Amino acid sequence: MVTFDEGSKEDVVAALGLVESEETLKDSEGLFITNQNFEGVELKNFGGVLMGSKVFINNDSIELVKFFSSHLE
Amino acid sequence: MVGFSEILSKVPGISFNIGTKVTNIHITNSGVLVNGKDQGSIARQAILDNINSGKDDDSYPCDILHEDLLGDYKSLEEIINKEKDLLKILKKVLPENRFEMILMARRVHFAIEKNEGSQKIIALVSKLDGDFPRDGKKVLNLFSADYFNSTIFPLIESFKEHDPDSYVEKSNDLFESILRFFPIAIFVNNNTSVGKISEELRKRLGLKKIPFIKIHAIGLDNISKVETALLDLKDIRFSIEDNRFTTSRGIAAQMVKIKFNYN
Repeated sequence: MVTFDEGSKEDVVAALGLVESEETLKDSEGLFITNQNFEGVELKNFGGVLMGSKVFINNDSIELVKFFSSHLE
Repeated sequence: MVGFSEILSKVPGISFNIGTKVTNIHITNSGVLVNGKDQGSIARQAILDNINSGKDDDSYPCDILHEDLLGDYKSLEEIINKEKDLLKILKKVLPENRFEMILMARRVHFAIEKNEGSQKIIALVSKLDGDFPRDGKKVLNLFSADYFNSTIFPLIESFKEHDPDSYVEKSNDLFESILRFFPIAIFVNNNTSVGKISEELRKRLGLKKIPFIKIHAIGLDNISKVETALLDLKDIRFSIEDNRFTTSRGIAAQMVKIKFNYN
């Protein structure tokens, strides 16, 4: 697990290959990234990416709840 | 995180042994804390470059999380690890959004159990209430009163044992009916007046087919309010069992069970 603070968020987002377009983040192929509800993720709300895969989340605990719920085997 | 250990061992100007177990990496505005020690801007860039290497693949090298979410992540991970079997029972019988509400309420209850600090707890309760305004706090109350263990899980197991074909539907109905009317529980908090307790009691006492009512109170002021409300309830139709105990945080607590004498 790598964590980041608010001050480093833009650098982390850039390292993930994401760019901001009209507030919403896009990946290197120009596609909008979405959270688990298939909603666009904005830079100001960006909370990270989980499971090393490309499950993006907003900085909102309910998104972690949804993530753990969906992975409860 | 062997990968990060290797990467850091190659960063010029820092002393990092390749065999060192990396347990925590935190990127800040100017550097990177590795196992709590700032390794500077070059190491920071090396970590970011490693993350960047995954951008065109199906996955990144690891989970990457805003620091605000770390506490919630660790708590939820611990809850899932310790209570997986029970949570799976609920997940099997309830719709996804109801299960998510329960898991969120459990996260809040976990923060209370672990005494995570009043500011954090207030923020989590507010979040629960905002995301699940109708029932979120009720579910938190169910956890506080240990209702899942004492009532809900045993009933689900009983439904499953006696009627496996319809136990999911019955369990759903049970959960919804508990939330809809809260028929068997009254939770007294600092905002609950004596009059409100009496009113909630009267509502329930007028119902049929309720085997008992439980009143839960934590803190001496709340216990005193329950005692006052119960003064009016001297009636042979009911028997009152007054249980006193101390919570794990050392606070006086009370659970009053009012049983109906149907004979």
